[in-house]
Amino acid sequence: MAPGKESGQERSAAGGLYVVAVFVSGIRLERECMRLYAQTHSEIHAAAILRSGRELLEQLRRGLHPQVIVLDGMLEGGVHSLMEEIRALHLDPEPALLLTAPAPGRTSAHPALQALGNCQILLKPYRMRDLFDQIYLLGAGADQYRLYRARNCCRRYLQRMHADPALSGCDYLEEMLVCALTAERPLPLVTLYQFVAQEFDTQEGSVAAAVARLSHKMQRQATPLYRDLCRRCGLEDEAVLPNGKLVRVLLELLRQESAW
Amino acid sequence: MQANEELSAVLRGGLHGRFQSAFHLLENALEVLDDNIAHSVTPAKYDDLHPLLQQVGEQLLLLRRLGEHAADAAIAPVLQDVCVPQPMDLLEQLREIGALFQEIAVQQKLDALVELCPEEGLQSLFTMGDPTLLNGLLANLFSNSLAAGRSVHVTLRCAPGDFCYQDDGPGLPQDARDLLLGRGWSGRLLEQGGLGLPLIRAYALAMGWELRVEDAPGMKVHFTLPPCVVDLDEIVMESCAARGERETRRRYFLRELRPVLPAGGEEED
Repeated sequence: MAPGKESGQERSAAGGLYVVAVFVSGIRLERECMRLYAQTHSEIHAAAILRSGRELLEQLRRGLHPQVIVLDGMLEGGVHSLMEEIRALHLDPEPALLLTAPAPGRTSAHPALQALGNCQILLKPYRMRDLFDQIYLLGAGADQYRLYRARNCCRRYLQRMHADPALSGCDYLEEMLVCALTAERPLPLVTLYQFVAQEFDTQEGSVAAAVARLSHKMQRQATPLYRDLCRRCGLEDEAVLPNGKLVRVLLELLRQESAW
Repeated sequence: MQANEELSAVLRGGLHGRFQSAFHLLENALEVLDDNIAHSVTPAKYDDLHPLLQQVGEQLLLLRRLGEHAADAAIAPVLQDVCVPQPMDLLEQLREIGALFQEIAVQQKLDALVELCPEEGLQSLFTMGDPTLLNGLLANLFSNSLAAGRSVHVTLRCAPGDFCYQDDGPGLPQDARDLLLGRGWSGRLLEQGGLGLPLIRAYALAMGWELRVEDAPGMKVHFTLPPCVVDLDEIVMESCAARGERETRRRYFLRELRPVLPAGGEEED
């Protein structure tokens, strides 16, 4: 999917809206980490991963238009003048700037942090998932961020149950859960099937069958989490969770973890 | 421009900062590898590989801790020249640290108790110090107390001009006491290879605190606190909680105490 001014409305491969970001770091290992992590987290589209402020300004003048620019606060030459030059381009809409900087090792270094100015700062050390969470929040806003967190939560649960991500049931189940989470009132299972069938341009019966196959496969993996979900539904540990129960119990977990 | 470069240099954090930066990059790289593997192999294969990555992460954490200690120990003779102590309410700092340590003890299933005992009527205790150096000082004291591997009761006493750390452990052997007081290394301690005791001394001196070891059951260390002479109308005291540093402090303590925490305790997030 090509990024552009409307790219914030485009869907990632995983189904949610994606955010276009540009990364600038003088450290090769850091650039590689960002590139590889972005490959498996399609909610952040890494439009460019650059080495210097000069390269960034060239790209911006040539039409690169990200929603978020992630800058290493320790870039050679400093970031203050770079940020002023970015602002002087009067990009519309103006991209959000996210600086990464080392946490001050001594209290006496706090003024150095404050001198970076009034912008979003993510202190090192951070985890990659925290960096990407912050980028998504800045680019997509609080409401979409909540959905993003819910999707990630769902995927972690499926991973823990050894769900094969290649199965279409995984995508269908995720969409059903997101739909149920955001609905104003509880939705019957058949409505969720209809919604997902429409989203994926398939039949309701195919959605139901795919989710059932997924549940069967997870049951055979016999992970502690799947067994726990069975117990929560009043079933034996070795049972297969019917689709309705699977959706209901995962929805409960998502609501708890994401404080929905 | 020059002022900004000087500020960047300060933020870089010298030798300690270089260690931190390098380990941060390695930890991120490990996270990315773990993530890529999770997306590339079957779940069963991932379960097979993940423990190895976890172990690499553990060793990296230990290496990071050792590196940061070594960096601080290397500049210990000049640490007091680079540290700029600020006025702080030591009693408030100790309340938070004591509470954090107690939380960690519960989560990690340690048989440990930290008790704060200010002098009667003492509501605050202003002195000159640095919260990050204070973290280092107390983390190393706690680590020493826990290293005996038994239940421990730590008491933090405060009075104007004095802070006393005491535990009910086996106490400091003479060579450890000598090392803490800056009298040099014994062969035994050199072989052990720990830097905790010299760092306690270095952090204390950098804040302008004097220390002495008292004869008592267990370990008992007194710190003489410098007076805090400030115009309270001009000072703005930020609470750690307001600055959102509590979580950073908690993670720091978990990392510093990791070698003495029981295996199988709660993992750091």
